[in-house]
Amino acid sequence: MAAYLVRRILGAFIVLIGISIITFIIAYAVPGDPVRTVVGEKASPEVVEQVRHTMGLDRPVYVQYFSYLNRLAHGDLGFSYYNNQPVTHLISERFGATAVLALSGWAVEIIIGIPLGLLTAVYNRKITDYILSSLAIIGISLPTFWLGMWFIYNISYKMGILPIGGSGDIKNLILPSLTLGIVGAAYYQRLVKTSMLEVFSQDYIRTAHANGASSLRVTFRHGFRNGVIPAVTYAGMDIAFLMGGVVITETVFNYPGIGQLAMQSIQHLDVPVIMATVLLSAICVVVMNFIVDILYFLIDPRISIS
Amino acid sequence: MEKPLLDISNLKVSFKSDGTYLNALSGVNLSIYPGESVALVGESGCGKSVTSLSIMRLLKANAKVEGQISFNGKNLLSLGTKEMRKIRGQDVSMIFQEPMSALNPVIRIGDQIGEPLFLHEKLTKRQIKTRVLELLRLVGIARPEEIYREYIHQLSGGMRQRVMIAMAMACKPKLIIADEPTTALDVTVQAQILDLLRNLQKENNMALLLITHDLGVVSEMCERAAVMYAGKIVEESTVDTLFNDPRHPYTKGLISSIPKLEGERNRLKPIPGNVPSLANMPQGCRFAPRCEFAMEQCIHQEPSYMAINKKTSVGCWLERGNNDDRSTATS
Repeated sequence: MAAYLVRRILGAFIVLIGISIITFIIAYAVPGDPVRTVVGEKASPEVVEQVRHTMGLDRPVYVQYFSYLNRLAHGDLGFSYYNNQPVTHLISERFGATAVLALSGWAVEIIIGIPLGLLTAVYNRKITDYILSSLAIIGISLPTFWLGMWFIYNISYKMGILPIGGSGDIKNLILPSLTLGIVGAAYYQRLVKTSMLEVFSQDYIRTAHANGASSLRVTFRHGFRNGVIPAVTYAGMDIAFLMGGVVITETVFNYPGIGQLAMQSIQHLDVPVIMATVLLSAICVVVMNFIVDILYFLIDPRISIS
Repeated sequence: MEKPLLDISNLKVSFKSDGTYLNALSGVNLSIYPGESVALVGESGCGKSVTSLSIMRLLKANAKVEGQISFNGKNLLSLGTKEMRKIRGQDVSMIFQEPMSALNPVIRIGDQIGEPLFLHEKLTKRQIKTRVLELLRLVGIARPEEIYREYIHQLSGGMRQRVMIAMAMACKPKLIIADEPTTALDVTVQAQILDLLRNLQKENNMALLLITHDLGVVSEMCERAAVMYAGKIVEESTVDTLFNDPRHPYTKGLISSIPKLEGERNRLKPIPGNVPSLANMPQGCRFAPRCEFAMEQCIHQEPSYMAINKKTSVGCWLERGNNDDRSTATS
């Protein structure tokens, strides 16, 4: 177990280093000058060069990278060029908001998607399946920004029930999480349906029927645990992506989360913030991967931990 | 004579495939009396498993089942779902071929064996556990307490089949259907499992329908045997008579293709040709294209299935010619 943990942590470390190198190079190679973000469009070339020198941006890219890593090792994510605030401050301010939104959107996806998957599998090729599966296809095809705006226009603006955007209250969460959840639920439906159909064709399901179990009992007691395994993998990856910031939903609902921050930082070529948001996403993915593996172990006794 | 426990008459099963129905069983008749062990023998694809699954009503939704299967006086084919559920696992239970895939990988062994008890008998959790531990001991599993908590992948092949048998025995059914119970096991374990099955069957006076392609298993386990070919039973007799005096050319072929340990050794005699496909059944006797005794009549007309003496029924024109005065078998 200890060896397994060490191996996993080492692996995660290598992945994160790799991602930081790639992001750094991309940010460097992108056309545009971050110094302009700091000094503004009207500053004279002398000022630009001077600021470039003080920020250390005139050094070779690998020197810049190692100096970044060095600071990172000391817990310093640098200063935002655009907001002129410590990046740690910006991130910690917004991560909570994103986490709340991600978790509630995720919950909506699962609460809608998994039962829908079960129903469509149980009623495979019957009218219930056709109706629900068509709804799921519509759900999967809806662009997030469109659904978000539709909600804002109809529910917030016309009916005036819920706030148009912002954060801080449960009410602010409802529409963004529904937007995330409805679009995402369809994936869970398809995944659970396919894997439940596969499970229903297994011999042990026939055995359960041969013992006299009802269809309901066969579905839940004998099928569900086997059928839900692919959904668990997907759910783990899914929450990791959501935690890394839901760019479109946060932008549409003017929700102050990591996604919105990432969007701004890219627009302004705010390299320290870009680096921080990308690394945060990567950490979420790595951590969730690990949690999913542990969950597998709990769900399926055939899988051993190492 | 006492009434049969299970009486299958004129059972026809067809499967819908690409809009047409393919006949898997065309008129199977078979009776099993209480406490009796009967073998259903035949090559793969002849309809043995389809017969067993139709008794349990576990065929896939694309199957069309006609005829009558009466069990204890009730026609199973006309029972409601709920009544059928009461019979499954309680009065009739099944042992499948591959215990590894027929048992649930994520449910503890104890809970799986306890499932029929939970479903059919009003017992507390503690009572169920006690019964399951007894069952595990009964099927010869050492350390029942430990095995109770384990999963199927942690056991050996023989142990898995013992678990399957324990589960089938849980409610002391009147009939056990064992569908190739030892095919997946190696030979030494095979003998142990068959011994166990036979002893449990005798001790509890259960009827056994053993489905197999292995004539060796038949001679050790059963009193009567029915030989199936291409969706029909072609010969049925007591095991002794079947081995010593086989009537149907197919049965003769099967028996002469078993290697013998004693006596004169001749070359094994395979049956030429292949089993006909469901979509392309011969018009007359289904075995005629492979039969060395086939006559003109065999190719055009299907022989009826008849009792030729007290013990044996057979569906073959050759026998018909010898026994013109006999009446058609009723069951």
